[in-house]
Amino acid sequence: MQRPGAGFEQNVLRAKARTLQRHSAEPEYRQAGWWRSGSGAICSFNRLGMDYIYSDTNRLDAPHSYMYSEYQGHALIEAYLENRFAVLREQVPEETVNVRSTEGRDRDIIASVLAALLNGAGAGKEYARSIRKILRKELPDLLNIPDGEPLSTTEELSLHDSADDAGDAVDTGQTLTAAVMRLAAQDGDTGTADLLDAFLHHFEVSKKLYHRYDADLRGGREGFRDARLYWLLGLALCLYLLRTGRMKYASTLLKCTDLLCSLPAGKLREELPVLGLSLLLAAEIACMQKLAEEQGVYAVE
Amino acid sequence: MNDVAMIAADTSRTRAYLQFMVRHDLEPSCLILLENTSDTLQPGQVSEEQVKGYRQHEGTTGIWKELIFNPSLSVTTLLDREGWDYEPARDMDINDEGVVEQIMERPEATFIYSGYGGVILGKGLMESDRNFLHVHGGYLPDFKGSTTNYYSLLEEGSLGASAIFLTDEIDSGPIIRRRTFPPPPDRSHMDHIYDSAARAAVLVETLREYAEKGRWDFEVENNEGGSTHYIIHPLLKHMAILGER
Repeated sequence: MQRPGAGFEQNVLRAKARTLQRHSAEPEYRQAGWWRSGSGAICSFNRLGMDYIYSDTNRLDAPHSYMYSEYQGHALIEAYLENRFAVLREQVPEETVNVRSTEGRDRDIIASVLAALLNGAGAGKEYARSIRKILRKELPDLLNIPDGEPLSTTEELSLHDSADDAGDAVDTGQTLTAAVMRLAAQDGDTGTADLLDAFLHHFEVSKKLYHRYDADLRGGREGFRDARLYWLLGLALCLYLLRTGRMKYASTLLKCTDLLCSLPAGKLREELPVLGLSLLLAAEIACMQKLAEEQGVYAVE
Repeated sequence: MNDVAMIAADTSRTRAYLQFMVRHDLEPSCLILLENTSDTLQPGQVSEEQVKGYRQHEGTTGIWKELIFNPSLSVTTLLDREGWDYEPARDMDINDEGVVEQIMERPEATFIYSGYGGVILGKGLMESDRNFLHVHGGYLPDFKGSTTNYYSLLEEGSLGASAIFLTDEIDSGPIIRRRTFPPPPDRSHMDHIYDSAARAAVLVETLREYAEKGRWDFEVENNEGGSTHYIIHPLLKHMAILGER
């Protein structure tokens, strides 16, 4: 179900839709600047009528190679923002969310990542201000958690805890969870960075993440369709990007969230914790805003 | 250059290489041309539409003013005009058995390689005793992998190019010469114009030194380390193009 945006943004979207409907036969465009395609992916137009193609079809079924992408000017940046805000808002429940009711490990992950982001996550006060502004406007329920307060005592997972009984497989979910928690606590060592690089490589080569890999991180198996794995990878990449400023992590983060934003809304709600994806998207948007300002690209709102 | 041949496809990069080589009188002993026998443009090839009306940006100064080439001038037109020796490859795929044989039949020890985008040399060539001279579009070892000049613009505000001999590990061969360049005046023409020009400039520098000394001197023999990059996300590519850093 489409969630209404805040007043100003909704008026802007309606104005855009009125312009666009003159050029389109789709009735949904009259109501909003974005809609869901037949495959369930979110599609959005910016004022120049450009679709954000990287999330417009289910990317688990049809991965995008990103090769030789066409130059499209500022329109692409606008299309990206509309896509991300559309999914961010769609994933926020109608009723007020009590994040404390989220269970166990997910609650710890969200609380730890949130605390890290609100402290700048190694990227400084400007980033902290930027993310706080987005959260205040879009995800106020998350800010009900006092700064820096974990909701429960966090057990630190050893990266080796993910090995199975035979000791010869890596559990992707557990490994990435541990990586996220370490990075959120600013404890990431070279081992964490090496593991992150290994998962980044797997995702870049195949655009898939499997539930398990061999001990040497080859040979993925046991399925790749779990949105949670991509969510965890996205969180880890975002935190590492903020710490290092290295653009290769930004690039893979964007591809990872392109995939998440291409999935049906119902699947995202089933497989991800409440506000989990919205938090990731808010963090990514704030990263891109920071980058745009540093590069002298026009101020991105 | 009697001991240096070339194996190349008609891409924007090869056009830049050859025009610069002509300018500096660096004729290879022979060029084996990987002709496109398909109906579509291959990666790295530029359509007439893409370069129609391309003019050097009005504000171009400094090094970019010198590194000018004509992206519309085809390889065969230039070679015929200059009277440089060339022959068609037995297949458009450099890893085809016939092409590998064709290369091995040549006497030269070193081949300048400028093929279609995304093609990696196979075992047949990599395990031979020939050197394959390639110019990577990025400053090594910091920027290994793909689309690296966009990453370089975002992180360092500069482009790079590095001449290496190819080895089994991507972008990890010994570095003969490497240079950085200032941001280009019109970043929307990065792929076919400025990246190609930067690589051509480093190639010419490398070949001139070889022609003078008769040997390859390595600026960095151990090209390990650095960071491997993957195809850049279009949003970041746009930030690099639109940015003013």
